[in-house]
Amino acid sequence: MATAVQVNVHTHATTHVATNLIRSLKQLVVACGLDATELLGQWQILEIGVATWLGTRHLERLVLEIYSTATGVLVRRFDFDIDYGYHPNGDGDLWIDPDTVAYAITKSGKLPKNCFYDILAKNSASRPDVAGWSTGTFRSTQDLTRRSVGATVGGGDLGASLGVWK
Amino acid sequence: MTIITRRIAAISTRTSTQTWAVITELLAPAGDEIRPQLDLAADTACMLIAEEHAKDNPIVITGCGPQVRIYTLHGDDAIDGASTNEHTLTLTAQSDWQLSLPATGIDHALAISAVDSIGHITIYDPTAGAARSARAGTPARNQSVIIDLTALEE
Repeated sequence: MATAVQVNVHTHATTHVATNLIRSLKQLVVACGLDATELLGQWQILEIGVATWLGTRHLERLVLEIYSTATGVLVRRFDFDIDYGYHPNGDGDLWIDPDTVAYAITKSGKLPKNCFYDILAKNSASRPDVAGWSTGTFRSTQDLTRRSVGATVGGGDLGASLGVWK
Repeated sequence: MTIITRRIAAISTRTSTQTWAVITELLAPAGDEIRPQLDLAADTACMLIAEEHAKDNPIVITGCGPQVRIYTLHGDDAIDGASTNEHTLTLTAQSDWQLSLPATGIDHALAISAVDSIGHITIYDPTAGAARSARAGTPARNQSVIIDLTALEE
């Protein structure tokens, strides 16, 4: 039975982290003053992709790129780095810390006008395809500096930590 | 009025997408005439489920026979399954059927905008009535008695 329990813990952790990563993306978009309509219109595609790749352990990073619509240049980037060995001996508690996301928003400062966003996932090789997702390229982080903010969501051995480029 | 209540295990047993799929299948199996509207509202419904708006205030469907109220269970309640009630429903939609999704705060405005062009789907703010009552300053002795009918749910 121990194996069955472990499987359930992993499944629940994957589900918990997947949904709450999309919630965190929405929290970032709304708090940054950006139009959340596009994110809302892709909710299922985003969640299915993230849940699938967390389940297969291909997802390495989920990224919110915020760029100038005038120049296309990246002005801010929020990274959720996935850790599959976050708390291997934990008790299976599922947790989320929205305050970490709120802190990241506060510390990253006000955005310039006329910005929009893209959501990208960095996967390891051989990831399964998910309908609605296509291949893409990250914008250059040249002239930006990355700062780690802290862990935002996790469960069992699965965790995600937030970093900000500004 | 007959009221039927269902309680659906959501996060962390299911993602919000999987949860809405279960709700949709309960209300309108594939091929049902109201299914297209439910599918169009799916992204919005998933967001509201993920944000736990239907945890304490139900998704309500009317005009299909009995009124159906659907709550979502989250966290330990979703995992232990003791409170779930996902029994199938038999509904017959009338022309004026309506599905109302609960939302408050920023999500209320977001959701209204998203479903604006989808017929039969509405968003309601469960705090709106409470706010009006608070403004009215009704003395406590005159407030209505609310009876918990949970034990009588089908």
